[in-house]
Amino acid sequence: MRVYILGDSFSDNIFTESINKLDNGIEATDGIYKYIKLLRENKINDPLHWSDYLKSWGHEVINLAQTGCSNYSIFNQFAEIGLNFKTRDRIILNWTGLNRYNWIGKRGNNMVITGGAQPDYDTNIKTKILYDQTLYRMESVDNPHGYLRRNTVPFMNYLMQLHNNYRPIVWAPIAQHNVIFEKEKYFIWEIDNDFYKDIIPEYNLLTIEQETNGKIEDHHYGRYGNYYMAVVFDTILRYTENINHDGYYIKDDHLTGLIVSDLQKNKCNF
Amino acid sequence: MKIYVLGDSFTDNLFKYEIDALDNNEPRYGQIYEYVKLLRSKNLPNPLYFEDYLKLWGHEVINLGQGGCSNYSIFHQFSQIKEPFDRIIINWTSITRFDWYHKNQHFRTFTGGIAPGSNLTVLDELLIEQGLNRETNQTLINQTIDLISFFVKMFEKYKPIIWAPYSYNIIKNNKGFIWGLNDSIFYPMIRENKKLDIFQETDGKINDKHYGRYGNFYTALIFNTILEHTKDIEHDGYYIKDSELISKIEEKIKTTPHNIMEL
Repeated sequence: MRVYILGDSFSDNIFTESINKLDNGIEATDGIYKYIKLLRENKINDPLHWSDYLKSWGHEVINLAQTGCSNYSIFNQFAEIGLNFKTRDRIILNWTGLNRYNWIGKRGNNMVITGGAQPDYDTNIKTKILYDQTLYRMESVDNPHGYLRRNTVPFMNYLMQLHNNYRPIVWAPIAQHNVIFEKEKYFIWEIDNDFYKDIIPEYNLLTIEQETNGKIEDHHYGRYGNYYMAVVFDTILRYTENINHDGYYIKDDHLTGLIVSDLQKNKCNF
Repeated sequence: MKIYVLGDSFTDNLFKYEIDALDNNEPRYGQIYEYVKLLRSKNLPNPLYFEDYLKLWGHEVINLGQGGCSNYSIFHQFSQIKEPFDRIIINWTSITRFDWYHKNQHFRTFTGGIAPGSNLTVLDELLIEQGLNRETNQTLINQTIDLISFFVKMFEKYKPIIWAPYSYNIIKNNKGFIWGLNDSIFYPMIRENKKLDIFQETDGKINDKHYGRYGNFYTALIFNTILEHTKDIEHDGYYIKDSELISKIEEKIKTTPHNIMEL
């Protein structure tokens, strides 16, 4: 089965680049690099991304996701898939923050304004304007009458409908966005959702920050988060492979029961 | 044929709003309002948008166009399309346009224009600069072309017609593309080619670059010819490479009476 992966850094295999840097003696300061370095210092194997697990479990993975991108860029990832659908092809997509937007710098550099605290927020009016834009966008999502909520969100759902034949799996690693998408077809909860709280023994170790006990401030999934996310995806892929499914995964008690059972049976031994 | 039309103000029926306002004695401002008023003051019939002509010629038209919008909003318009339908006509807008959000849910599309004589704020300057940066950004251009191509391909069976009244350079090699009236192909064929937009037609009295009566008539004529020509045949969608079609359009432009009375 070919599995197209679309999304931001939660889908892009963020470990690969840092592993390559470490293998080639290139220094870096980002959280992912520090995380892998820390694991190596403790003689622990390099971490696997959930897409690595899917590969090792027999799926052909085509990863089009892009770290730090906006949903507008994710729309373009659909264009990369094109129309070369083959029976059994699937899509796993994570929507990113609706507050993110693309911005083109003076020198033609393409940036994504992702929000987050900026050191010069109070001193640089342009920084303030660009950062405030992410807040206003979030307001436009949170308010049911906001433009993003009324227009962009339906467009995102529409894009999924256009890809019905791929029987997609959609998730949003931002809890706030779950409220928007969880009633939609193809949605599944992200691994740190409350649903998994009493099922996963390492529920409090899912992100890098949690796993490293706050030593590394990075909210991406670490070894546990990636492993269990892969189990959830694999369960859905296998369960829906040869049946007609309406795509409302979280309303399918049999499927959610199977996910629970697979998570409990397939504990990791990191 | 049941036709969806998508796009910006060149598709959104701007005349209709002003005609309705005038009929209902609603005070309005703006150049299109003045244009309709001017025509009425000369006892001329209300102007027709290309949508109106297509309806007159027997098509059912569902207009999703939205004045002043960005290409992102045009992408959003696809989600409002409901099957069944027969054809789709999309006008893409300028790549320089982008959406901007303000406090309290206020939303606008920045179109590049700031009223002359305005005191520019830092925000205005930033938005103007962004518009300029977007114009030549190859990554953005490529991404826009890719997404447009994706939708054209997705709706291939509806033989889409795509056009852009002004900044058509980025889509001119795309499937479905047809030139606008100001392009060197159709322009010399049109008898009233100096009166296509409102500014030209009113001899500069009304400063608006949207198509007026002539521009809309000829736009409709081109679309209708494509629709009819490709109705019952397999067509690869490269309209501008179909010399038979272009000849037909030329013939229609030269021989179809518009019955538009001089202003």
